[in-house]
Amino acid sequence: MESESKYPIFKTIGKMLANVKRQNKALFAWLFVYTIAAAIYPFFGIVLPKLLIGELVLGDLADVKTVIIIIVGYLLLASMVGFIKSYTSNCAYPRITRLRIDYIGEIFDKIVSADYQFMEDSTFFDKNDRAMEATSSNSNGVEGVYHKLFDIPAVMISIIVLIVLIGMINPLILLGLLVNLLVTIYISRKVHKQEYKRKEQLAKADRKKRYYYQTTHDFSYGKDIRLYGLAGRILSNYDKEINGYIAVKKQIFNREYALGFLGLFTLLLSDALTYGILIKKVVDGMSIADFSMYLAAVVSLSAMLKNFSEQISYVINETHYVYDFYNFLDRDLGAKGGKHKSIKDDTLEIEFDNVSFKYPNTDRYIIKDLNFKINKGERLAIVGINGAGKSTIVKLMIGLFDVTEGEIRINQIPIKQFDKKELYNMFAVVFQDINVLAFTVNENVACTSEEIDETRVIKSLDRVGLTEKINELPKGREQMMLKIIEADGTEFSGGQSQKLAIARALYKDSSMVIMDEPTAALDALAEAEIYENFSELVKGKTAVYISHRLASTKFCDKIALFDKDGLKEYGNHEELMKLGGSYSQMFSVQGKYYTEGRERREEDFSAMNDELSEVL
Amino acid sequence: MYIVLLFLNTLASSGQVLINVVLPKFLIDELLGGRQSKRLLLFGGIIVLSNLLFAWLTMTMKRVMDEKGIFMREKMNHLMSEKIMKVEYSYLENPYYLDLKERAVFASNNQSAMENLIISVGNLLNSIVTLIGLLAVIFSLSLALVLFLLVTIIITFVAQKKFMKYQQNFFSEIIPVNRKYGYYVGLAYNDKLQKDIRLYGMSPMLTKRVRQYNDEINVWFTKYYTAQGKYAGLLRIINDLQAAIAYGYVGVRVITNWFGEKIGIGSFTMYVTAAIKFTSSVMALGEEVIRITQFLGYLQPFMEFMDLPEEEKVGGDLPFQSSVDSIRFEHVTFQYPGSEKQVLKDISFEIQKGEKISIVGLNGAGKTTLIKLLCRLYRPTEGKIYINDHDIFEYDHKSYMKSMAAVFQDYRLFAFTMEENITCKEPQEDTKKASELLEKVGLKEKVESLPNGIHSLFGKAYDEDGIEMSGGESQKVAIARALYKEASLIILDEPTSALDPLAEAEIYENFNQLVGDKTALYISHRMSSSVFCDKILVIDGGVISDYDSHAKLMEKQDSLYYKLFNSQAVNYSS
Repeated sequence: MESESKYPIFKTIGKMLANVKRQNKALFAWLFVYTIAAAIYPFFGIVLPKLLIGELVLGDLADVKTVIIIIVGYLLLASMVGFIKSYTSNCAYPRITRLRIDYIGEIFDKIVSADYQFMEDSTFFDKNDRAMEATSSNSNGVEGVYHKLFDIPAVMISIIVLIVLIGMINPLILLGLLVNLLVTIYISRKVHKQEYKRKEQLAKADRKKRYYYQTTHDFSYGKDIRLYGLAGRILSNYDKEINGYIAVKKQIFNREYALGFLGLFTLLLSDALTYGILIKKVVDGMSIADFSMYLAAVVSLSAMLKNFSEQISYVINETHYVYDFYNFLDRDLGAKGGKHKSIKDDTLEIEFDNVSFKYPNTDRYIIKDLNFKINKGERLAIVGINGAGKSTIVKLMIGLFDVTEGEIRINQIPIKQFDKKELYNMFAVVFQDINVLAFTVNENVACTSEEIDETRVIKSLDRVGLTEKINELPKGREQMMLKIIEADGTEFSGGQSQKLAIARALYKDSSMVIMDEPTAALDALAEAEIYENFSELVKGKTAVYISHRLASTKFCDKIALFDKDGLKEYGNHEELMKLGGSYSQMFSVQGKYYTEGRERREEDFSAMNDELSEVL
Repeated sequence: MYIVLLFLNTLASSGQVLINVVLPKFLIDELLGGRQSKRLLLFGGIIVLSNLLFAWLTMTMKRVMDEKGIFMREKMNHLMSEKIMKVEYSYLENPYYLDLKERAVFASNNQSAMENLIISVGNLLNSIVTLIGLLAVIFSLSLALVLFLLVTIIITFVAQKKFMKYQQNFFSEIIPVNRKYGYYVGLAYNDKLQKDIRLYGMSPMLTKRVRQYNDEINVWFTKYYTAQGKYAGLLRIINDLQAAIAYGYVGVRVITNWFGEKIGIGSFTMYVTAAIKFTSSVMALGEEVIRITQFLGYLQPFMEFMDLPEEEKVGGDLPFQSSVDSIRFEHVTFQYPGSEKQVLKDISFEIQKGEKISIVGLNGAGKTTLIKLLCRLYRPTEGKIYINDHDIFEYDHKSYMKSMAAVFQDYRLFAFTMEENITCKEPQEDTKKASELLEKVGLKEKVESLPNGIHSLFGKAYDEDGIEMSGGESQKVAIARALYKEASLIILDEPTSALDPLAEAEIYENFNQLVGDKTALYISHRMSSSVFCDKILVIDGGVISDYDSHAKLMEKQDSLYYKLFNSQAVNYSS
């Protein structure tokens, strides 16, 4: 009923059937058996009264034996067919579910292998919402449509037989049913359109209501709500939003209710026609047995038609999600790159040549005409204020994003010529967010489940000083991490997780090492430890250390200072201090209270502020 | 209002069932007998009209329930919101209550428990009234038929009970599997993980795990649905058996007098329909009883949460009026509820009015916990905290909360205007004080650049046109909010972690000026910040290892403080 957009429904369904053929052909056999059983089954209830009454009206001539034969025959046939119907439908169910969860696997693989740029595109998941929704539950999208496709053939056969049966006695009854059906469909379309028209209004009201729901139900807001006495205000606002939301809903409901009267009218028409005609027929000589049968047939048909129309409109609506889903699967989200393999047995030299960059679908350049070079074996500290594009430079360097203009070269080879996977292979990066996964310690370090080089894991853990911690674990390196999967999973502190991340980088043993703000949340001693680990990690390799703290510059050979306008100063510590520019100013601001006065110097505040505004 | 409607609906739908059982008898008898068109029209007409009436009632009931259902759900959420905001804070950090809340919310949102409970009670009433009517009809024919049917119904219930037990077992076993599966599938949608997945080539490992779970879940479900298929098939057979019994027995009654007087074809239809309706009504009754107990069960977590004690009712009623003149911790020991570990051990110290105190220690030393205790978010396990020589729990909750302002590590801003976020009050006409504070924390330019200035709405969650701010900027707003509050004690827990060094330095250097003569507590990993403070409280593994001025502490070269300070200072020594 999604009249708003068209899509190739039959092609999509064809694709779904082709998938069944590929994954589980046996489902067609289940479908066949089910359809026959389910199509026959309703007729037992329709034919039984006819046969029985036909015998009973004979009065004294009626034979008890015949009655018993009819009943026992009914019982045997109906229960056999009925059992087959229920059993096959239930057996087919998990096989259909399987089709969906296999698709979950496919979509999972698609996402984790997609080019990184999509992952930072906030609209990517929104835009593909329908596609992702298509595998989200038993009752919608892919699986919902499969279930309906499974049910529909049987209903269709029953309907056709009933139509023929009733049509033979009087087509006017069919007409009544049809009018009633059409009006019911018309009403639901109207309601749907009405809902669609108010969709935005409703979404807005819902969003506002939901904000208060989420804010209050999120426990992390608890402290501030209590301390700043916000409960009263929030509750009264929430109440207002609820009422606003219900008011919009009410309009839709009222419309639906009003339209319902039209349905009542056609129901009256159809019922009156059915009873009128059947009674007339009996008066004209039709038997009571037939009367009962036809009445039962009409009631069944009317229910089936309603059911059928719901199934069809469901399939039309939900297949749209399936269509989007297939489109998503077919889309090429792969990382584009060249054919060049990783550089092995050599460390890297990286050169930025007039690089400019803006994020896809944005207008603002984050980096403009950037030129600099990291020599082989050099340790570079990239420092600067938040928002200066430090992390972006890393993303470009390791190929997560492609430059907009200019070129980056690794050992003189343009970065575009590398195969993306090969390119990623050359870098070991420790990011600010440490991700410990619910896998074993071994898997967390090696990042694979197969062919783990255990000696290398042991060595890596040892070098970051985690050996002792691991030895404490009951299952050692086979211990599951996090508590989400196994209750006895181990949880690491922030500092330990950080070390684990470094062990991961050590295990990878890439040609180049990059650390992106790894110490923001750590205490001073843990921070100092990370600095030590860094030296360990980068022995003989080119390395980049990114931080908004200047301390990192101490153990680096070169410093690149970025501000809003790009690379501002470049050189080693002494050179930059001598230069007397931003770096030396920042360094003294940050270090002031460590180095010079170890006492309070309130009198300096005004002078300091002047300094700061100059720097900014 | 709609309870009345529910009742009316019950009566009407029971009436409709009875009309559909009894009237066809008259219609058929008339068809077989006199065939008077007037009477045929009357009986036919009543049947058609009663169907119409029932359709209308159903439609009206749906209209009412649609609205009431939403209302009820939102009302439950609203109640929950209120409770969450008023419950003693310590529950909010306890995983058990987080889980309890999730279960309670699941019942009201996904199961629509309240709504369905009411509908079920309505249906239950309906079944009972219908059953009484049908029994009256069938009894007029035979007790034996009722007994026959009851036997089959009992068989059904036994089968149902057995299957439900199987079902429960199944679900209790599959839920953890499903949760784990959800975790692994969710990894693909975790944006923070995406860089690592690519850089460390994790995708084969992850995909493999997901596919393993696919197989595992499929095995489970196939087993379950095969069992369910047999059960559903059995129910069908019993169903057909019931129909056969009804048709057979009543049919025999028509043509023989073995079990009693012969009956007519009209009565045949009536009794058969009554018997079949009877079985379905008993089944419906049984199902509604099960559903009602089920929904009551779903509502259990909600009730449990609603019973938690509220903060305002905890503690004394001594109003906190003057300023904070002294703070004293006396032998305070603390462990989080349900945890064995003592986070703080026998802590004692004192703070005087107007002092600026820096709290220093390693990650996990108990710094933030100490502050939570002071804010009465938790109660000490042992020992007491005194402010102005009264146990803090002697004070009335509301006035106590007014006495302090805090910026927590995980501070939160709200989808109000910038001004309201600072004042935490209804919009004021005079925004001078808020503007001044924004200027002091260095947000003047930012606010001026906003389309509605200080009246701009914060955040996009509530309204698409809301403004977004960087972590550093929001942190500054949170600081302004704390300063706005007229509290004589101000607490800052890592208030500058999201700021770059320049902004950080700026905030710190202005702190003492901003805070003025208020008593202040700071927590920071930037050791340089403690230089500004009167005294430094060093916490090491839950105990106080030092409490003195910066200068004095720096003389103790083996102290933790000295180590911490130097580990950072060394990077700046030229």
